[in-house]
Amino acid sequence: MKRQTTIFLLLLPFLAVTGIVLVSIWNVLVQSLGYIPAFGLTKPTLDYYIQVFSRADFLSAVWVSVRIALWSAVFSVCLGVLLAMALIKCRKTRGGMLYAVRLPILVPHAVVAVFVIQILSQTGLAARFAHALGFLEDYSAFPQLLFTPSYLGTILAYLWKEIPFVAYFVLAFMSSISDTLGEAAENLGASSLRSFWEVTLPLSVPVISRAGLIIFIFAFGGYELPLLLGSTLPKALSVQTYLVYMSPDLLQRPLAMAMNGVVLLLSAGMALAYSMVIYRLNRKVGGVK
Amino acid sequence: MKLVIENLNAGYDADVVLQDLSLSVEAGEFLSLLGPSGCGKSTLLKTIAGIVPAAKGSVFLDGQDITHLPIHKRGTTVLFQDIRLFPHRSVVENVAFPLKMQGVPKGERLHRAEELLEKVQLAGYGNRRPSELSGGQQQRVALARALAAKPKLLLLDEPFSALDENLREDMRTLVLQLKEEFHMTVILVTHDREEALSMSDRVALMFEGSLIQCSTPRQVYSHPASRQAADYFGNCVYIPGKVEGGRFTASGICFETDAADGSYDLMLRPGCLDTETEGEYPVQVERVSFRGSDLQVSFRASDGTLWKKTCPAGADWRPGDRMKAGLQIGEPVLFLRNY
Ligand SMILES: Nc1ncnc2c1ncn2[C@@H]1O[C@H](COP(=O)(O)OP(=O)(O)OP(=O)(O)O)[C@@H](O)[C@H]1O
Ligand SMILES: [Mg+2]
Repeated sequence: MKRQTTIFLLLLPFLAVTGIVLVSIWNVLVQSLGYIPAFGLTKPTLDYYIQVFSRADFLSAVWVSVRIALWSAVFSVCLGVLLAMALIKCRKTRGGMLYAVRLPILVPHAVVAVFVIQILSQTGLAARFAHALGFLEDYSAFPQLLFTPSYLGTILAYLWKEIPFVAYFVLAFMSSISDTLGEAAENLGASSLRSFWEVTLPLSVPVISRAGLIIFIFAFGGYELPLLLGSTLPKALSVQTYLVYMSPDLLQRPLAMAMNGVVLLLSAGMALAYSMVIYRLNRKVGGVK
Repeated sequence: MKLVIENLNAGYDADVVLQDLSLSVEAGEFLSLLGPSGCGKSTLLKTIAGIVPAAKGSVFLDGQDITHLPIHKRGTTVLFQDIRLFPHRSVVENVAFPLKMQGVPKGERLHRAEELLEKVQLAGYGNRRPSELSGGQQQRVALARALAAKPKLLLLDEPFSALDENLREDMRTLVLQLKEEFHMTVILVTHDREEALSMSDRVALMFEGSLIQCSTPRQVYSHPASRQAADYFGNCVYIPGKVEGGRFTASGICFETDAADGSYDLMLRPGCLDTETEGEYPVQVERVSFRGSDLQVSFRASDGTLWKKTCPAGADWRPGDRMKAGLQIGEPVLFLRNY
C-alpha cells in the first residue's frame, strides 16, 4: 500500500504535465469540431475541417512547414551524423570539444534568429566581409537568404541548432558501435569508411531516425524561426494558425482549432509511422534497440 | 609471417598498460600468451592489430614496419574476447564479411562461408541471427569469420572459453590444422595452462604489462624464470635450503650446484615426488580426491611441505598412510631467498 503511494507520488509531476497536455489536446479537438458554448456554438460539425482544407493560405502553409521540416531534418541528420563520426574518429567523444558542440543546443531559437539576421542579412557580417574582401561590388549583390518564400533563412537557423543536436544525440550510441563492431569490421579488412557504411551506420539507423523525427516534428510545428526569418507570404503553418487564433472575430476560433487539429493529427501520424518502421528495423537487426 | 615487437608501450588515454614489451614470433609459429586477468594480453593483441595505438616502440611484420599502418591493411585478424558478431547480418553473412571486403563475388563467398561453418560444426545455422545462437556457437562463428579473412597473423583472444571440453578439443585441432593449411602464424591468449602447454611451440608469460618469460612449454614449466612464473603454473613446492661452497643442502636433500652461496628455495613439481620407490623423504597421505580418470593425492612431508600429486585411479591410497618416498630432482631450479 505504502509502496503504491510512493510510486504515485513520484509519478505525480509527470501525470500532472501529461494531464495538462491531454486536456489541451482535448480542448483543441472539441473546439475544432465547433463546440464552444461560450461563443454560443454547441453543434458539433466537421465543417471547419472542410473549410480549412479549402483555404489556399492553409494549404500553402502546410506545404511551407513540411518543406521547412523536411529540409531541416534531412540536412541536420546527414551533417550531424558526419559531425558525430568526425568526433569519434578524432577520439573527441568527451570533454572540451563536446561542450562546443552542446553550446548551440542551449541557445534559444529567438537568439539564433538574431544571430542569423546579423550574419546573413544583406547588410550582415557575411555581406560586409565579402564586400571588404572585394568579392562583392555592393551589399545588395549579396544573395537574399532571409525573409524569402523559400524559407532558406529559417532552415539555416534550424540547421545551426539541430546539426549539433543530432551529433550529440547519436554520439554515445554511434561511438559505442564504432568502438566495438566498427573496429571488428576494420579488423576484418574494411577501410574505416567501409566499416562506417557497412556496420556503424546501419546499426545506428534507429537512433538517427529518432533524432530526425524529433527535428521534423519540432520544425514542423515551430513558431519563432519561421516568424522571424520567413517571408510574409506564404506563412508557415504555426504562424498562420496563430494569426487566425488571434483574430478579433471570435467565430474564427474553431477554424484555428481545426488547423491545430490537423497539425496534431499529422504529428501523431508521423510518430506512429516512425514507431512502426523502428519496430520492423529492430526485428531485422535482431535485438539491438 | 614473422612478427617482431620492439620496446612497445601502449595503453588507454593516460594509463600505460604495456611497458617496454619486446617479443618475436617466427613465421608459422604457434605462441600462447598466458598471464593473470588484467595484465594486458588483450591490449597486446589489439596493439599488434593496430586497434590500440602504440605510444612508443615498433611492430614489424615480415620486416615491414606496421606500427602506424591502418587496421585494415595489416593482415592481422583478432578474434575478440567479446566476440563482436554483427547483429544485423545473418551468421553466414558474418562469416562472409571478410571475403566481401576482399571483393570476392557473392555466390563464392557465401559458399566459402558455408564451408567454414561446416568446419566449426555449425552447418545449417547460416541463416540465423547471431542473437539466436548460444555463447559457444557465437564463439565458433567468430572463429570461422576470423579464419575466413585468411590472415597472415591470427590473434585469438580466449577463443574457446565458452566451449565444453569435447568441442574445445575439436576446435583446437581445427585451429592447428587450418594454421598449417593457410600457413598462418598464431598467437593464442588463454587462461587454460594445459591448453597453452599442449598446443604451442612457445609460451609467453605476461605479468603487469611485461613479458617475464617466453620459451618452449617444457622450458617454461620446468625452468621458470622467476618465482612468479613458477607459481603461475601452480602446484610447485618450495623446499628451503642453503648453498655453501657449491652444494645445496636441505633436510634430506643434497646436490652440487654452481649457484653462489646464500639461502635458496628449491622449486620442485609434484612429479619429482617418487612414491613408487623407497627413498629418504618421509611423507604421509593427507587427502585423496577422485577426479574421474585419476586421483589427486595430497602428501604432507615431515618438513611441512604439501605435495599434490596426480596418481592413477587404481592406486590404493588412504589418508594416514605413511611412507618414505624418493625425490627425483632432475635439473634443480633454485630461487634466491630475499626475505
Ligand atoms: N578500453 C579500455 N579503456 C581503458 N582501460 C582499459 C580498456 N581496456 C582494458 N583496459 C585496462 O587495461 C588493462 C589490461 O586490460 P586487458 O584487457 O589487456 O587485460 P587482459 O590481460 O586481456 O585480461 P583478461 O584475461 O581478463 O582478458 C586492465 O587494467 C584494464 O582495466
Ligand atoms: Mg583479455
